[in-house]
Order: sequence, then structure tokens, then C-alpha cells
Amino acid sequence: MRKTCIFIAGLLMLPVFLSGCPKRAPQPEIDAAETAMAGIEDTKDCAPEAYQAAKTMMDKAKALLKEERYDEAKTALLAAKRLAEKARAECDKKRKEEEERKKKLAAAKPEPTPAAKTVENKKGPADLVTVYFGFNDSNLSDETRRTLAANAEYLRIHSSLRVQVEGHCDERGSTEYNLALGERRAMTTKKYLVKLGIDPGRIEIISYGEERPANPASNEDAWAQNRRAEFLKLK
Amino acid sequence: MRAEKRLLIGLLGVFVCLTAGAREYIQISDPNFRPYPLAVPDFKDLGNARDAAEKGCETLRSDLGISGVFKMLDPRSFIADQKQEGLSGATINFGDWINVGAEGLVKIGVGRTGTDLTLDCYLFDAAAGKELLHKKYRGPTKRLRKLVHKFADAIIRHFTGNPSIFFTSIVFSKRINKKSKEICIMDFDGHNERCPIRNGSINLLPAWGGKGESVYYSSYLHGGPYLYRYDLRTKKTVAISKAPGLNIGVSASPDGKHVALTLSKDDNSEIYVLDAKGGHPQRLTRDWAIDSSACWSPDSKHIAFVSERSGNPQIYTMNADGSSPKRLTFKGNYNQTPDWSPRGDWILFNARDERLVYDIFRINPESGEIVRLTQDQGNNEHPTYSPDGNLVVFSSTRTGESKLYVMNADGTNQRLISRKKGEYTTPEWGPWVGVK
Repeated sequence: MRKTCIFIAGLLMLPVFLSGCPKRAPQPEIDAAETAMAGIEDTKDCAPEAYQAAKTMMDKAKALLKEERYDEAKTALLAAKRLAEKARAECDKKRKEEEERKKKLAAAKPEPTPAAKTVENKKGPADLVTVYFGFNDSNLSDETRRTLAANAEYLRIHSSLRVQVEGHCDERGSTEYNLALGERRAMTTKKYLVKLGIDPGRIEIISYGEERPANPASNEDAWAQNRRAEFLKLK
Repeated sequence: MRAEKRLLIGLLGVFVCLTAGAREYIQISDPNFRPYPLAVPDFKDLGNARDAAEKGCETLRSDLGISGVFKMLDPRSFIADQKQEGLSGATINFGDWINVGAEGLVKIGVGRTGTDLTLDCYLFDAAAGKELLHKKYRGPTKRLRKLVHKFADAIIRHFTGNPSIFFTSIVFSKRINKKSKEICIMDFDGHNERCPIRNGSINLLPAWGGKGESVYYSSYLHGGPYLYRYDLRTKKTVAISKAPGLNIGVSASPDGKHVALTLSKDDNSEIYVLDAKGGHPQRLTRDWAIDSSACWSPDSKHIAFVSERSGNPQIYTMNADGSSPKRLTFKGNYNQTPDWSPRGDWILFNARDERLVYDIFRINPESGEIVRLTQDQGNNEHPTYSPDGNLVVFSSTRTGESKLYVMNADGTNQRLISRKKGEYTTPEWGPWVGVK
């Protein structure tokens, strides 16, 4: 009788074992993959293939999780994480190359100085690097923040140096709005340097709007080079 | 009793005069407006004035063409024997003019008296064979354009009941080289260009002050850019606003009491109103977005402006004290440079369309109705109304470099008016001026 009872109880438990109830969703892998995925939204354009691969793999992993095929899901999650990391690395590398290219371009084309008499007749030294912005945008990208951190370091070393930050725009849009936008680019740049510990009294700003393009051509490349904040050493 | 009688007769006289003078005027702003077909044959040389006859004719055709009131008939289509025909009605075979589609006919003879030119000018109603105007002008040869403008003005007054824009001017900024931009003025038709603000620096965003006797502009000459006012009579410049940062985008109120402009001294571009001499600044906008491009309503009670407080630049209106700001444009994500019509019924603006091209539109500030005025002709920017509201001047890159164009307020009749080299930008049409 007792044996029968145990047998019945065992029978009742069987579906539980079979359905794999004791198995849990692989939470650490899910978290790791989701974190990696969250960080690659911006790679859609600069590393489209890797981004798409990571996204497809993540979708597959999610489908497997839904079906509670956790072992396969775990493998897919790890793969998605690896692909996401690959997309990130690819994109960062591309951006770095782009920044280098722009640096070289900017260095190759010294900009004549504005009419302000206090400004040296020479572009700032290579150590103070021009930063670039998106269309109708005055926000600082991660890349720009890194460049500005280096510029702040330069200003810390050359502690008596005063600079003028010039905000510039591409030619599209109205003269007046672009002057306001250039001002905001210069202002945002200055504020970030101040946040990094540079005395605000050492930094002047001026906006030239669309009046002083680095590249006078009318195409995407030129516009990207013209949406910028430049640094000029003041005497 | 006798006094009353006299008053009655007087009133009757006024009534008769009014009804006799009442004519159906052409309203260019009327939705049913149809350009009036007008024939302007070559001017007749009445002796030793062939050059003047040619130049004068060119000026008159250009004036009347730009005005937008007329359909200017092609002189090559004329069939009348013009050698045979004289100037007066009795010598004209009106049938020949009706046959080429003319409703109106202009006949002008140019003669020379010493160093002076004399112009004998007629306007006819071709269908009725009736003389509408007959005027004579005399002046030195160098004033030929003015003499012709005078008759063109008389023609416009005859048909519309309003003065013409033939004595108005347009101010603009012109890039000469990479480093400098000058402030220049030209006649409404692009002639007589002169650049009073030429200092090797960047001078921009000019605007008329007062009744056209001064020009406000911003300049980097001493940093800034700061705001200055140039007096066209004394040829002197005074600084109006030298706040830290931007002092730009000025617009003088039609009542002459104030100027609105953009200052960035508060860490961000905001709209301010100053008195005409630059005193008593009053801040109108308070937010972290860019606010700029202020322009006044014709009654000086409201201001239209650009703000990106919604995330991208849009056109807004507010009271002249900054209260009750209201968003006007909801289509598109890049709307700029408003200009309020002299009748108050439309606001011109510039928009970037879905193909990322800049074109000119107008919006009714009450109903929100939007009308597109330019399309498929390069980038078209910075529109401003003529003082009668019938025409619009704007810059366009349709031939490459930015040049100035004039069109009717409904977008038809677009004509290139700037005549020289250089990049022409940010035109503003000046106020009425009397016939000189």
C-alpha cells in the first residue's frame, strides 16, 4: 500500500521532471547579452553587418527562451553577446579612424584668424584638437568628450594659456539660426572644459555661424568638416 | 439757411467727385486676380535720343514686369505699323493692338532739349480706344531711370489706386571674398548697387531703420558680433548694442519705436526689445532653446520668431511684451526666417522639405493655412515682403551662387534682380519712399 502511494506520488511528479521545471532561465547570460545589446544601438550605421548579426542572434535567443529551450538559449545568448561586442569594437575603430582623418584634414587646412586683434595669426597647436558635431546638434559625442578631455589636459599643462573657442556651422539653414547654433556649440564645448576643471576665465567663446567654413564645398563631407568648434590661442 | 444750402451743395460736389473718381482697381492679392495684358512698344526717338529711348523702354518694361500687375506682351508679336503710328490716340490703329491680346497700350516718345531729356508718355485702353493718361517729364539724361519710374508709378496708381514700389530699395549682405561680407543697397530692380558698409570684416543681417533713412547691421569688426546703425544721410555709424556674445537679427518695429533682436548674453540666444537708440532692453523669451529671427507684425503689437524649444526650429508668435507665445508651424522640422506681410494676413517663412531642400512658404497666422511659393529651383531662402505686400524678395542658389530674386506674393513671376558677382544673402525690402 505504502509502495503504491509512493509510486503514485512519483507518477504525479513525473511531468514536473519532464517539463524541466527545475531548470531556470540562464539569467546571468540574459543580463550580459542584454547589456551588450543595449550598448550597440548607435552601431547600426557604422557597423551594420555586425549589428544586424548580433540583433538576429539575440532575437533567436529570445525565441528559444520563450520556448523554454534554455540550453540552446544560453548558447545563443553567449553568441549574441560576442557579436554585440564585435559590432561595438568595429564601430569604435571606424570612428577613431574618422576622427584621425578629420584631425589630419583640419591640420592640413589652417584657418585664417578672425578680425579680433587679440587672436594669434595661427591656428591652435596640434595638441588642441577641433571637435565636430551632427546636423543641427550641439551635443557632445563620446568621441568629442574624449578629444575635449585631451584638450583639457593640454590646458592644464599649459596653465597660462587662454583660448577662444569658435563655434561653426555648415551652410544649411538661416544665417541667424546658425550663428545661434554655433554659439551653442562653443558654449557646450566651454562648459565641458570647465566641468573638467579648466578655469572659465581662460576660455572665451565666439560664434561664426556659417560665415567661416573650413571647407567651402557644398556636400556632406564638407558640411561634416564645417560643423565644428575650433580652438585659438589668445595672447 | 443760406449757410446750410452752401454746405449741401458742397457735400454734393464731394459726392460727385468721389463717384466720378471711383474705378475698379486691380487687386493683386485678390484670389481672382488676372495680370492685365499690356503692350509696351519701343519708345519713339523724337530726335537725337536713340540710346535714351532704348534704355528707357527697357526700364519701363522691367518696372511693369516686376510689379506683377501686368502680363507684358512680347514686342516681337506686335503687328501694328509703329513707324506709321504716332503717340496720340488719333494716330493709333487700336485694332492692331487688340489683335495681339493687348488691353492696355503704352506709347512714349523721347526727345532731347539741350542736356535734358523730355518724355511724352501715353497710356491707352486699347479696347475702348481711350486715352487714360498723358504725362510729360523732363530731366537730365542721367536721371532717365527716375523719369521712367515716374510714369511707371503713374500707371500703377491708375490701375491699382496705390503707389508703386519703383522708388524703394533693398538692403542685403554680400560676400566678396572668404574673409569679408559687405552691407549693400540696391534699387528694387537690382540697379544702382552700392555698398556703404565695407570694412574688411564680416558684416551681416542688415535691416532697415526708421523710414528708410538708416540701416541696422551686425559686424565682427570689434568682436561680438555687435549691432550698429548706419545713417544713410550723415553716412555715420553708431554702435547700438554691444552685449557679450551675439547681437544679431535685428528687426525695427513698423511704428519706429523699438527694435527686436537676438542677444546671447544669457548663455543662450534670447529675443530682446530695445528702444530705437539701443536703450531699455527688455527680455521677451526665457527658455533653454535657441530663440531668434524676430520680426514685427504690421501693427507693432506682435512678434513672430524662430524657436527650437520643441526640439527643432519652428515659427512662433508672441505679444510684443513676450506674453502668450504660440507655436505656428507644425509641419516640417526646420522652419526659419519669418516675415510678416504689411497687411498682416500672411507670414513668409523658409522650410527644409522632405528632400532636404530649402524653399519658401507662407502661413496664415489665424487659420494656419500654408502655401508653397518656390519649388525645384535650388535652395530658396530669407524671404521678405515689399512694402505693399504684393512682392517678395529672396535669395536662391538656382544658378549656383546665391543671388536675389523677386516674385509675386503668390510665388508666380520669379525674376533674377541682382546683377553683379558675389554671394547675395539676407535681403530686406525697404519701406515706402516718396517719388524723388
